[in-house]
Amino acid sequence: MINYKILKGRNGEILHAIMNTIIPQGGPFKSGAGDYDLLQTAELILKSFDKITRLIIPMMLKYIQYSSFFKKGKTFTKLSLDKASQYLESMEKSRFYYRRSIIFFLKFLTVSSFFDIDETALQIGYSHGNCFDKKGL
Amino acid sequence: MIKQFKDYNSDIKEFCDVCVIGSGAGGAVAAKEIAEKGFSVVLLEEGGHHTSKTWSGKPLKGTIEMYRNGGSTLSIGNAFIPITLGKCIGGTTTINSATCFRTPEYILKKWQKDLGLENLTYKNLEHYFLRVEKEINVTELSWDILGNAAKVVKRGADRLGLKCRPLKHNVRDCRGCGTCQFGCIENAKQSTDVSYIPKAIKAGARVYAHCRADKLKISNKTVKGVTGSLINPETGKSVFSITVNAKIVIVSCGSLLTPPFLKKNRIRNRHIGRHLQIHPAGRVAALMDEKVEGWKGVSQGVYIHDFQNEGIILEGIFLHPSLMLATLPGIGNEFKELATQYPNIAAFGVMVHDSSTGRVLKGFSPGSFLAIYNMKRTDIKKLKKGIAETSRIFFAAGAKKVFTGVSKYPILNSIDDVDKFLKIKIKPNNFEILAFHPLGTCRMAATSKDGVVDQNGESFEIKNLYIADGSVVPTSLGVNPQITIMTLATMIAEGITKKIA
Repeated sequence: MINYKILKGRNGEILHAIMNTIIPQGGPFKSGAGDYDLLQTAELILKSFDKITRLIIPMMLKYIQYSSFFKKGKTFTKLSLDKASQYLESMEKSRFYYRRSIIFFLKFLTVSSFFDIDETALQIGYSHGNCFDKKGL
Repeated sequence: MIKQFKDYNSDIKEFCDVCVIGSGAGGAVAAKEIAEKGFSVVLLEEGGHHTSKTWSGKPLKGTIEMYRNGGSTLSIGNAFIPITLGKCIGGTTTINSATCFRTPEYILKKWQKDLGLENLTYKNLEHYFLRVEKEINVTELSWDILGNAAKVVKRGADRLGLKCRPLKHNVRDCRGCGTCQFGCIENAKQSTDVSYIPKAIKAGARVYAHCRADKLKISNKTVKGVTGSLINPETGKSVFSITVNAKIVIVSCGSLLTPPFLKKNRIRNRHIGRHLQIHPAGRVAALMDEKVEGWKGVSQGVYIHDFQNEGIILEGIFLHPSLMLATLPGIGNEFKELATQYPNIAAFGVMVHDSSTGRVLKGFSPGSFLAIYNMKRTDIKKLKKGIAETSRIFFAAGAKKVFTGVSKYPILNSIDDVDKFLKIKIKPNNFEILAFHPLGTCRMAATSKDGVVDQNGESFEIKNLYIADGSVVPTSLGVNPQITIMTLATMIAEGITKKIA
């Protein structure tokens, strides 16, 4: 069991909601972020970052949680999947660099945790360690 | 044998002729060259020792264990630019794409003219180039190993009359497993942990992993050794100390860490930390009709240098889905739809020979730094042009869509969109920029007015203190710098052996 430091409590809940929005269950392939405990992996990634970046993460999460209130009328974790998806998409297309950077970083965290699992990578046709039989020079 | 955290049970005291800090392209080369001449060498490395038995070649484990700060090192300025650095035995050579270029001759001439580096002529360096290339087995791979992504780009380039050529790599018996950036799973890449360091150890060098150099011992403006900490990799905390008494110290911590280390040791020279150049790079991905399966084959296989006169070089790049897909647009089902088409995605990189310069400042904690880099308009134009040309190549090869990595125009649907893309005004922070080659922060020059070290790599300020890493390379090169750093380190090591003999 991992001892959460950065993603404990509310921070973990917010990131969990963000991850489920970026890769929801169903659709083009069955599994979604909610099918796996990606918070554990995310915590490991975040722990390897430097102190300043680790301090910024909770601020990023809280930004998403509360800024959605002004645009969608509810905090992020209370939004429906459709509305949450629209909200994150608006961040991705935003003209403001800091908004794009936040979603870029959190998407990176989600996608790198999700597709690190062999089973999920296989769903999109990727298999790890494909070496040719023939050697180069 | 490489000593690691598990081998440490008390403070360590060492005596040697030469102490080298850092085991990357500079430090490992210097350590081996000096040890083989019969001098006693101690090599210190902050990161751990990983081998093909312990790594999986997967990005997550690789970045957490082998990259500095889990790959989160950034420069700040008019855009945040991630700069990847290795933190393990072998340094960045363990996690690079194994691409090899000699220093371009026009760059050497520029250094001679601007900085008085008269020794650095192509003729003088040629035998060092040959020595390095032999040591790390620089070779050109066959097209079979380069994979389909390279073939797609070649097809597009041929149709446009551009020359797409295989890159040279430092590999032996490569089978194109495509995991170069996270540790070669077959030990085919001849990074310094596989090539130089075993030879240094055979020649008697003592190597300490999980060992951070903290302070230089300096008296009467002459370096006498190094003190450092033996680090617990789990907590990052110091558990024991190490003291190395040495006649000569070589700092090879890399362009982003050598300047703060020197500043921390109160070495004064106005050029320390200045002139940072990083080769800003962009990434273009294309959705093809055919199955590309770009992960099969060398991840950086080919290059196009038709735009080199304009300061642009196009080089292959392909990554694991966990990294590649994170950079493509879309949230929710739109993202999942694109993810299912991952086997049909081809990608290529754009690298800029930058004229912009930045700075590296001392950070707040040990081993930390603050890199500041603002991209000039001329470099923005080069990056934009490089992305446009790469998009043209993909459309010529039959791409359905091209993903530019530019927030203002993320998707191009046809070749007509390329011209529209060229017309829009783009700011630095509209690009997804990456950088892999920090250089120039303790540059070599003929006099202390222009640089930090002389033509032998010795500090102008402190006697017997040498620098041998990317920071002494005076300017950006426009090509991958591994061979240049190794060549300069070989030259510096030869000078040291002559001096102490």
